[in-house]
Amino acid sequence: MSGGLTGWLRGRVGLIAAVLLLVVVAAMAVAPWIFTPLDPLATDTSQVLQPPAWGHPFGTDQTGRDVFTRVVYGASYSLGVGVGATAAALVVGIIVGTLAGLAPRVIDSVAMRGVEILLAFPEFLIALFAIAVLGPGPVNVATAVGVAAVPAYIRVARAETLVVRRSGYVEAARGLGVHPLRVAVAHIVPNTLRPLGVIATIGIGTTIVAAAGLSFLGLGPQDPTPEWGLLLSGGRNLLGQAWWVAFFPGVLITLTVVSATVVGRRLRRAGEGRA
Amino acid sequence: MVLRRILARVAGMLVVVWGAATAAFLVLKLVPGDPVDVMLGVSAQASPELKQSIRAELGLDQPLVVQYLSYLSRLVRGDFGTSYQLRLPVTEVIGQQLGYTLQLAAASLAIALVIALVGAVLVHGRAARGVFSVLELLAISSPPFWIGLVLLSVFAFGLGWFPVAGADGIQSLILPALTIALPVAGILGQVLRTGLEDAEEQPFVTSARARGAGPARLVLRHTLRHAAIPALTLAGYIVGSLLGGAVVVESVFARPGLGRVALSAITNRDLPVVMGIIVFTAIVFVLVNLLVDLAYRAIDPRIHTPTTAIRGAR
Repeated sequence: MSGGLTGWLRGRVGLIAAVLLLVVVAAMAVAPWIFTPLDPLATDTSQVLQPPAWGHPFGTDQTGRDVFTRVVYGASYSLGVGVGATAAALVVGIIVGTLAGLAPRVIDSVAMRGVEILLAFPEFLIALFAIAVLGPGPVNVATAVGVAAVPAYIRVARAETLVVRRSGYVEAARGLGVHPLRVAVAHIVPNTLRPLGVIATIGIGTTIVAAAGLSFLGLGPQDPTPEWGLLLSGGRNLLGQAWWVAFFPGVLITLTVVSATVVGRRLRRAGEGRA
Repeated sequence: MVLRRILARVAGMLVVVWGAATAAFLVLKLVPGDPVDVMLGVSAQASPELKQSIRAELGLDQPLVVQYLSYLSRLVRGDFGTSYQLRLPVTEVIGQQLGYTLQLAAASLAIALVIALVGAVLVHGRAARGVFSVLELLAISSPPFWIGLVLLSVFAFGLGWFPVAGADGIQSLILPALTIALPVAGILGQVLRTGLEDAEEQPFVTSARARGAGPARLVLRHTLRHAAIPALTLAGYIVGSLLGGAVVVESVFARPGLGRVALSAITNRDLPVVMGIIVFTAIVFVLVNLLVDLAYRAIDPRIHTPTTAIRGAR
């Protein structure tokens, strides 16, 4: 505990950087025009494949569009899918997980066998199978990555429910004759939220990568939509002449995901410390 | 007893494959759109009579139960149906491309194991471990397709050490394999390192040291064995990463393989191929789980069940 402020800062440089970066990306998603005066779709034939410079910090692509502007505008889709699909998956996971935890043993164990099988696969593979069923498209990509994220939340929600249902206050509420549904909603669910929040924070990152991967494969939004995965796949064919078109969108995806993971891990450690 | 155990195990494996096949069948039957339209292509102007005759030929006019039963009985005989697009048996489509993906997966796994082991066993000291854990975090968080593009742009386009695309010999295998291997190595490395740190605090380490085991012997004979158990539980996940990685990486490096087949089947709604790949994946997972269980027993003698103890006694 020596050094006061500097000592406090030293242990938290990574965390502070991560939070700052997430704030910046969120700002890009909400108000991209703050960051760049340019139009993400505007082509400029006099500025084709320009390397990074002052006017175009991330360079330009084969039609003269500013890569920085496209990356900034891409944040809204990626972050929207990341947060939206994670939130939806969290809600479904809580409902199914809580019900499984409260259900008779037979139903619970059958449901959990299914969840375990799904959890053996990486989310990306499940999302890919979901796209095989749903068909390609930007909305279906969001749905697919959401579906892929659900099993993990079910497992945690169920495990927490099993712990909480035996606690004194749930017993007390039952004893007072509170309706089972009200017990679940008012007493059980709120107490399962902290561990779920931790994995959901990390999950936002996983979801962003999975969605960008599906878009990269051409299964999501189509050109000229500025989407991070799509920007990368557009840059694939230009790698020989213009590395920057594919490089910078990837840097931003990686930084966003690393930040979400750092924040999530920190939350987990804080939660463990308190428990 | 042993026979019954083996039979139960095989039955369990068959149930999982059957479940995957059934789920694939049911879900894909719900897919909107007429498979006959997919076969003929969007532009084709086929008469309703022609479409009807194709439908009858494929058995698509039969009731769902009949379709399901004939699908299962064909699966049992190893007939996965015919690709709508390529007009080839699905087994042939998968068989032709399997080799490329197996090569890629094997090379990726080997590279990932080497990196993870080096990182976990040889890296000592607080600072070095800190740096390594940051690298692991980066490897896990980076999208695999981006890692692939960076490797391509530096080592293929920039330095010209490797070919830019294709699957022609070991040269063309290294970059794609490295792309899949890095995230896998990141996860494996984290688990192995935590396992090793955990093992170092165990009493058996003190006793091994007291018996005069040197650091190399300690790691090889004792702590690594301990750390391998949590790493093995990741085997299914890693195989999934290898397969999922193959889809992306084969596309980045323009390599042939199962991933390309899967992608084109998904984009073109070639349902028999999609179903074939799902069933194939289920079979792979079941076999991997079997191997993992056997490996557990080999690594940790405490996991011997009564039956294996009896078998061992004979």
